[in-house]
Amino acid sequence: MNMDQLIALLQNDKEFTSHVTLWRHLEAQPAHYLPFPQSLDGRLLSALKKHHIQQLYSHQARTIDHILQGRNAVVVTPTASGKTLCYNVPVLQKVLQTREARALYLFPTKALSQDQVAELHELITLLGEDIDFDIKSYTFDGDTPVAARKSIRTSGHIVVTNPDMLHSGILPHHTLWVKLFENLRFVVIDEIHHYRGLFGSHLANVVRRLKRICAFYGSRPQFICCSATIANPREFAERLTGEKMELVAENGAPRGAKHFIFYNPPLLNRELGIRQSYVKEAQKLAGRFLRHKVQTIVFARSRMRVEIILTYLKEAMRKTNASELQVRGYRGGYLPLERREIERGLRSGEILGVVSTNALELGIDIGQLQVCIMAGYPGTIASTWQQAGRAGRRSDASMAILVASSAPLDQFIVSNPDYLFGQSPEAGIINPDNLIVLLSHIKCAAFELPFSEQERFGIRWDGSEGVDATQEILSYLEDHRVVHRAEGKWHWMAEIYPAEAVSLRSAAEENVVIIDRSTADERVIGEIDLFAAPLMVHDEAIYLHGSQQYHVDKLDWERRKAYVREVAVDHYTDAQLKSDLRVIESSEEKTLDACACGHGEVSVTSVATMYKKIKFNTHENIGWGKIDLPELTMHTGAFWFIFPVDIHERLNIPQQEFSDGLKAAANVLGNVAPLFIMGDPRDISVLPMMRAPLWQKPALFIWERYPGGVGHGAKLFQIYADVAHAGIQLVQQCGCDSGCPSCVGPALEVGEKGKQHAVAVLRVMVQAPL
Amino acid sequence: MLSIKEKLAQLQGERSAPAHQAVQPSSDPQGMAELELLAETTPTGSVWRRQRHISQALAPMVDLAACSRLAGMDLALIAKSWDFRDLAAKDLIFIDTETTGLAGGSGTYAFLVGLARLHQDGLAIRQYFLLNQGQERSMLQAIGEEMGSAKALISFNGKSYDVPLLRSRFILNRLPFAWEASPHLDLLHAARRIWKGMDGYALTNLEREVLRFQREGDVPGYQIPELYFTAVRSGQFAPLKGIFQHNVMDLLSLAGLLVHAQRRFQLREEPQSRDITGIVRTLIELGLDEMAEGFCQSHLTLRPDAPWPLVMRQHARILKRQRKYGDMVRLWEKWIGNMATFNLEPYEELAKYFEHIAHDYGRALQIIERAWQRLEISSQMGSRTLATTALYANLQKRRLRVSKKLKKLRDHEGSAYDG
Repeated sequence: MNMDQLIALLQNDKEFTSHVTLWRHLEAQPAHYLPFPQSLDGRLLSALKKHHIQQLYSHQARTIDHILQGRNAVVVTPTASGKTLCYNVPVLQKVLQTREARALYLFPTKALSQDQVAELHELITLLGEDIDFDIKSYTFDGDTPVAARKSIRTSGHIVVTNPDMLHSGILPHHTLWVKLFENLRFVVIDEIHHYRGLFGSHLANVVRRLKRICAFYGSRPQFICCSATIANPREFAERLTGEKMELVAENGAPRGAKHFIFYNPPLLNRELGIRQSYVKEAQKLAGRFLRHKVQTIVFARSRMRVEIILTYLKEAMRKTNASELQVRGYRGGYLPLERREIERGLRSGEILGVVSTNALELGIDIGQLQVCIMAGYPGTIASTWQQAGRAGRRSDASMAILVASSAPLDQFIVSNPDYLFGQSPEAGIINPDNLIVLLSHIKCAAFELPFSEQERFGIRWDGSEGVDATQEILSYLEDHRVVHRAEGKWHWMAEIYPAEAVSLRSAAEENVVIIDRSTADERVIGEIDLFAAPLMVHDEAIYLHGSQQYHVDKLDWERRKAYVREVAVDHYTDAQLKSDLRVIESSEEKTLDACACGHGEVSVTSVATMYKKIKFNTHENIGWGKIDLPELTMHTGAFWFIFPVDIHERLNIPQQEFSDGLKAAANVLGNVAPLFIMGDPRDISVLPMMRAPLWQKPALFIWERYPGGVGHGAKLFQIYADVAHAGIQLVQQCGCDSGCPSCVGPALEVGEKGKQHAVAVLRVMVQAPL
Repeated sequence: MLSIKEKLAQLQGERSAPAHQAVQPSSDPQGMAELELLAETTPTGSVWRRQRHISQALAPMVDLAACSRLAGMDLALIAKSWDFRDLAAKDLIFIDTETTGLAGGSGTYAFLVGLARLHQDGLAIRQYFLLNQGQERSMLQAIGEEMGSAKALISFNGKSYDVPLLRSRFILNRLPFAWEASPHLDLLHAARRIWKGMDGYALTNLEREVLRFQREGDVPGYQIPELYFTAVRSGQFAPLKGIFQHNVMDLLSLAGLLVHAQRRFQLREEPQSRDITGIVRTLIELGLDEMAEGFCQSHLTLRPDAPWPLVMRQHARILKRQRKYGDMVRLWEKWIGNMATFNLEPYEELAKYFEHIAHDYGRALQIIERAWQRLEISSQMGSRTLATTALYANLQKRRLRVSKKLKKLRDHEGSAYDG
């Protein structure tokens, strides 16, 4: 079935169209070309032509030009816009000029590195006909055989790796990589939007270490970064690399026409905001397309959902007597060979359907499919476009369908298409100076090379900037017997290998593991962060996972394990958390007439006190119990907004109702803020306080759930009005009567007028100064 | 406002100040005289060095005199490398380092480097000590100069540990490092070849099993880094005395192992039967076939209880390489003649020889039939196991192949005759 037939089929399906909240036709865009740079090596030019590249897209030409002029650049690239050329061309040009030149490529995943190396090889092979030496490119990661490592270290012109390997396998052993570091000309960091939050804060410090080692060996590489569309690519890349960057944002690649459809499954329970399962809806749609032989990719948000959808689709294929091998799953955990086979099958068309986690959202070459179905909002706008870009042929139209879940962010996106189609509100946020992160990496850096007594960690190539706290942190490490000061330098003096203890991807704090004991074999069904655990998995709690209820038999706090078993009961539990927050240090503040706001460091203390059992539908309180768990304290970053003490009078709301309204507004902000900070709802927490200490006024605090914070507080200080505005939209567009978990929270928690009051409170934030 | 240190303490969840406050060392290091360390000023800075001369009387467990008489040939055999053929004992430098741990990477360094040279009247040891890391460059330069005066290195596990570590330190101090390509006799590798089936190859094991002595009051290796760190932090160096002694013992044991290894090749020290494979293989790999054969023969004569398979196999391999096929066939037949329990190996080797080298398919088939009968006899006594089944299958396969070849040959011969 071709695209026109498919569109007609869907348009004539009243059941389908009645749940479509948006059907947008994106026009095809022609390519925008620019000539090859004058200075391009003739051999490289002819290799590119053999590679069927007759001209460069404008973004490729501009990026290559910046790099050839010796500048750093970040290029914003949609899927399949030929971004690898942006860095492969200048790198190969340099190697052709200077045989000893080296480049380091960083990709967020191993699978992606292998794919990119394959592409690079093709170009090098074409070049090989015209040059008298071998240009060698290798992947270096945990899978690299020990026997091959030595030659990679000494003779690899282009070494492709990931941040974790650079951090723990390369930098601490830099003396084995002398050739690389002495001659390093380029560092390529691809898919930088992945390095946001904690991961990015770590990577920025790994880059600081890398630059420090380069300086020791006398090299000063240029940086080339690629990013999906985000609100602040230049600022973000500059934070990540610590260098000035040129931005190339306009995409010159052609784009085929695309139909973008938002599908919101039917509401089942208006009061609770529960909708028909988006997973089921997505798999039904996919099954239908596959029956019509339409090549389709389905993205699901977890490995488990991938398997559920895959099982359904295989069954559907069997019913139509088609081979179930035409539908495949794809996710981390599959073996590399199997992945390669699936990628090939998709390119050749032998495989009709694939169900994937976001593993396939990265630039792995699978050709261009006809339809992409996203089972749930992928979590960020950048991911949504990358996934949607998996469907799209230059000649023919393609289709992307976003099937919304009942989660607040999904509901917000399908009701407010401008956030997706307009200027992206998502900012890549990192905080390389988070003290815990900084401490870890100064430790690793001291292991790699001694610090001098004047040295500032993280200086730019020109010697400016750098971390003020460097020397004090080193002194702290001396107190802890890690380094020793002698003859003007801080020397490493411990038996440990510090990189081993630092994981770039996960918070240092522990999680509580949730273990299902329903069956004979204990099974881990999830993890929950330490701070949320007392609320969600205390003894006797009813814990919801997927759509299944579990009873928590025992929370083993010491071992960080919660033992649960499946149940089907008519109630849920609601734990009361007593939180206290204290501002330790304010970084920035502003007064907005009667209101005020600021950001800085806070200390949050919380203790779960008791829980209530609440019956579904009637919301009767059918019992309660005590929770006996220790108090938790966290020092972290936060944004705060302070209301005048008489705010309820100004808004004409009774004081008690205002308290509920503040809580409702807090819930809303917690729901929409992730959209702006490109984060996960679990990255932040919003705390309403009727009498905030220090001010003795009503206040809202949005605090970060990672010790020390990764910079969300500072960002929210700049954009809180936009966030509050989005919050108002979310509340007003929600179909519920008086509050549901998709907007302000259940009416039971926020009162009958919760929606109304939340909007009033958020308006104050948008409009302040009053 | 909190200081950075206070913030860190809070973030790290520390309830009180760190247990270890930095102790400011006194300006002068204490205990250097007890360690017999002397400072020497070089153009790049101070170097602390201790010199010791170990005479035979001081080290009765090591035959230093014998060690100093080692010839190039002895060293070549022990090292399994002809690079040593033209060297003498005086050309060697023994090296052993004490380091800040086993973690590896650029944060691990050597704080004590022991170098030793052989003289007729003993072993001259120089130990270089790193008072603090600021002096590393001058220390490495001094070490580099001293190592440069020798022609080959002797170490224990130095190929994978000491040399790469020193290389890394030289690079970190931007000094050239030239010893990766030098002849290097790593006694750990040699010991694995020469003394088979040891209960681990830690130096202390070799001392007990080969050199027949045990250290008394030795500092265990795992304590060494922490002892050093404490000394540097406190400025009190006298407690490191044991580490200096440990390092001297390591160097002495290297000399001892060289002597014992040499005796193995001289047949002066009767090897355990299990050791012979390594020795013979070394000889073969060096191309010393006659010596290897002589070694096998004398061993078989001297030791009637020798493990036939091991020695025979080695011996037959030499004969095969030398194309002394007649002798090789006699050797395998001798094994069969002496065989108590069934072993396919000699039959198989004979069959292979007749099939692939002599192209005498008739005799090859005979050997296979003999093996078959012998196997039947022995398997009648025991039960038919999986292993026996495999043996039959092996023989059957070989029988079919050889029969086919034989038939082809006969057909061919027949037709040639007809024509």
